[in-house]
Amino acid sequence: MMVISLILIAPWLAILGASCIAVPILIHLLSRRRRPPIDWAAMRFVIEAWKTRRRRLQIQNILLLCIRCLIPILLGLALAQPILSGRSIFTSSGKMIHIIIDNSMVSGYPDDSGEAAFERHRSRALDIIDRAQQGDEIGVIPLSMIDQRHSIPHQRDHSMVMSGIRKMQPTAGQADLERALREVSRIVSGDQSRPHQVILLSDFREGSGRIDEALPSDLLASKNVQLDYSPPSTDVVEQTRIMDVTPLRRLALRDGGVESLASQSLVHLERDGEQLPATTNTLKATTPDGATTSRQVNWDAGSRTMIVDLLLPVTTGETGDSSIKVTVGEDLPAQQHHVLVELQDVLRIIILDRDRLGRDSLPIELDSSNWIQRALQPSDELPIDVRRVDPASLVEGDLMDIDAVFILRPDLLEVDGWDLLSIFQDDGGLIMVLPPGERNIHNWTDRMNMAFDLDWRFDQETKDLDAKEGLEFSETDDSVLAIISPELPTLLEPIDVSRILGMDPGMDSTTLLRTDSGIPFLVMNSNPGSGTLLFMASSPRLDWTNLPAKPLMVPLIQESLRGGLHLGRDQQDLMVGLSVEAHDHLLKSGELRHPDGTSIFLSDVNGMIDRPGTWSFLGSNGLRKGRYTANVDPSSGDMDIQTQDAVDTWLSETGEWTLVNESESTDEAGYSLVWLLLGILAALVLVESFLSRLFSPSVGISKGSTTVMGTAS
Amino acid sequence: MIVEGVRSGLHRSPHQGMAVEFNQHRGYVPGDDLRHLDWKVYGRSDRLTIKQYQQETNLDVILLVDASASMRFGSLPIKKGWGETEASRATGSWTKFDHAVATSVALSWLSLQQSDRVGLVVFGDGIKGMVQRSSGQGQWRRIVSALNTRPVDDGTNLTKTTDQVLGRISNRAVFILVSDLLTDPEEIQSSLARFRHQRQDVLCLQVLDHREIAFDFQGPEQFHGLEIDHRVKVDPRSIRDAYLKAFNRHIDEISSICTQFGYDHLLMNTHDSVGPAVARLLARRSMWLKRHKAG
Repeated sequence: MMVISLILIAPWLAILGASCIAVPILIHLLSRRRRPPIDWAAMRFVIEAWKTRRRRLQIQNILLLCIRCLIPILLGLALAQPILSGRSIFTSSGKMIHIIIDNSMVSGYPDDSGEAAFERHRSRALDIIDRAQQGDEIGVIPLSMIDQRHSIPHQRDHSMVMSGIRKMQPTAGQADLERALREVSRIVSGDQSRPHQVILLSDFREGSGRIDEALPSDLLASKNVQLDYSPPSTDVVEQTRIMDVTPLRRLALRDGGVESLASQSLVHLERDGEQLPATTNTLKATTPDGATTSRQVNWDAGSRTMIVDLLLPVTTGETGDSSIKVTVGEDLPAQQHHVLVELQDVLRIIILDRDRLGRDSLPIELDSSNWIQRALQPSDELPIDVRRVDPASLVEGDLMDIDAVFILRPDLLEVDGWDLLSIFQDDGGLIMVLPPGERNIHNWTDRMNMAFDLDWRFDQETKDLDAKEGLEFSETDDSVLAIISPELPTLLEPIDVSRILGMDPGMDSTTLLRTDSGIPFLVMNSNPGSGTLLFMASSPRLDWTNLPAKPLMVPLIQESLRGGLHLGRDQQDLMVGLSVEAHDHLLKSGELRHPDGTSIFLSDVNGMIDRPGTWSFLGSNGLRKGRYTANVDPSSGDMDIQTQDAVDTWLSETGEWTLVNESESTDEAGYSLVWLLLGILAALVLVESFLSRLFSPSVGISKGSTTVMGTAS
Repeated sequence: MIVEGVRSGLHRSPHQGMAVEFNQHRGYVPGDDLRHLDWKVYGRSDRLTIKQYQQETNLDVILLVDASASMRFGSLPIKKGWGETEASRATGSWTKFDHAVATSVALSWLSLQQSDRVGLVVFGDGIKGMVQRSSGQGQWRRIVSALNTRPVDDGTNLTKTTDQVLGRISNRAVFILVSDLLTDPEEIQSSLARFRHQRQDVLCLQVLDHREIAFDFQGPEQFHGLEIDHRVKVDPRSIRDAYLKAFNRHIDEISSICTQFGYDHLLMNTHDSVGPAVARLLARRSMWLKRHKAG
């Protein structure tokens, strides 16, 4: 059954026009304002005249008032662009069109013609809107960064929608089709009286159409919803993406000749394309002050991924966080990665041990402090400052500006001392605990467990091994010994252990070295940003192990120190395209500021990390408290194409999709009433003008002298 | 003017037969005084003819001034030196009553200068004040004083007033009715018929305000009747035609009634001077007398 419905493109103008009715009524009421009455002698003639004309005057006034009220109503109605259309009785107004436009990272990449996919999507969207009926309500939902700032709300004013689309730009975020479809589903559920059309404009490259992630089934499966999508792109684009950059050490020492070790990084690269010919890329790392390092990356034919090392440049500026940008190729979002490296002039370390008067020069007589200090300062050039502090006298000031603490006499630490060390670790410090070589009974372990909230279980007494045991290396991803891991088998070979403090590190800690019989020898407990705790089960004394006298000692202590500091000070990066709310490690007060001046207030739950780079974290007082690197999701930059069948299968989970070309709008077009209304309006204006002149009481009044009538008999 | 009086004055007496100046012959009817038979005519034509004579005498002039509420209306702002009445003091305008007073005072002055006896009746819905006829010194002042202090707030009952006036006057006189005559024409006709019945002469001076005649308001107004308790909110421009039509029809009716009884009717505009109107009245009266004498 068909009914005639009237659709207003800009209903607020009609409301405005309707409210203008008040104008002629107000004029009418104002003209009726109270006047002082005239005491009139010839009243009988006034009454007679009034009775004669009253009905006619009333009709004239009502007629003029009606015309004058109709004029603003018709004007508002005409400006509201009414559409007269015949529709199903079940539809209250025009169709709702939901345009989902792919503005994710890959949509901004230019193809061979130099045109980005987003430009094509935009042109297509504009064309769709241009062809839409005037009564249709159109909204645009971006595929990436779906929030109020990037979406265009549904409206009948197509010019506003087109203007919004023209202002849209591709983002550096990842596509989230599921969320976009859920948003559409929410709108469809809210208005099921009208037909809906969903138009998905995307190239469906692997970066935006992640067909391996299943979409919710039957999300938009409704007879009332028409689903269209643009055909997947078949243009192959070859590019190299940076998947990750991992600095081997986040801490670098500017002086001392160890920069090469400290600022080394591993770069994970991946290539998109089909042919994958042998080629060469340039990998470049740059600091904000212009320091640059680079290297060539040679790809073998058919090779898709590669991990290469890259020396990160060390800034010559002030110490602190150094922002480094690593790029490959054309510097597109997926071809760049930002890392932070902390630069220091010197490492400050204290050794908690009781100082003894007199020192023996022979190695066999060196105490554990001597061995640790020698390992930490193998040469005078190394910028490591080591200081010994008595454990029983440890105060807060001792830990000021200290990077690492080696506890050689944990048995002498008071509870307050453990508490200070716990705070020190939480602030990102490194603590290495070693059992006191002088004792066989170890009753200090409970205090340590309590201070560092550990569930380690220790033996109460030192264990003398029946036979000396060697050490084995347990390879783990987060090992502080990763850099020396290739040489570890050789270095571990001459090591034997004769005494050890047996322990069980539980599930939350990592055993880096263990004896041949499986007793943990070097255990690590580290939380990114919350410091590192290392425990060596043997005291560095020759009566416990020959490790202090072997070549492994120096690299083991040095790597434990640097690797531990790296892990303890690990930065948590930001993901571009996610909201501030989605980053759990961010505080909810303060501000993030990008070098280009963009700010995001952390209290804004809708704040979106919308661009890669190094963001400064400013406290509420405006002072910088730290920095975060924001990097794109590298998989979102995958330009590999996907077949239409694969995309079709993927989309079909949510409903019955058809290619957008096959489903041009065939609905009966509505008729614009604008010109008709304007014509009526013009006629009404003329009629009003004519009638007001015709009814004007001023017509016929002649001023001048009066006629004196006299009659003589 | 032709009036009846007991003393010889500047006016001709309407009482014929008392022979000062021959006026006309007429046929004899039974009851006529045989002393007035013209025997010469009888001798020549065998017809009994009565000789009529006209006698010069003094004149009684009675001013009937309307002091009803409708006379309070005026649209001409009063100016210093114009004199004032109770009406103009209340309204600040030169009212119809002011104009009537000015006219009456002028006429009384002229009459007194001719040694006529002048009396005054101020009326509304009956006689509200009187000054007895007199030609003596101080009469004019009495008339002026009576008019000057008279409240103007009454209704109009011309018939009742006429009965009251004619009941007090036995001889013939000239009555000068100064009023806006906005009452019912039938009442005016009834009243004038009474005068005619007693063979009295009446001059009707209809005093109207310029605004009543022109009705030239420029915007919506609220009218309140001075004698009719009625209010009308109207744009006068929209009813002007109908008003003027009814108003002029009324004046025509008054004029027609006066003509019917052989009385003078003169329309006076309060925005015009009194002098020309009075002069025109006297000239018209004189012409009438000459025509009457010649005929």
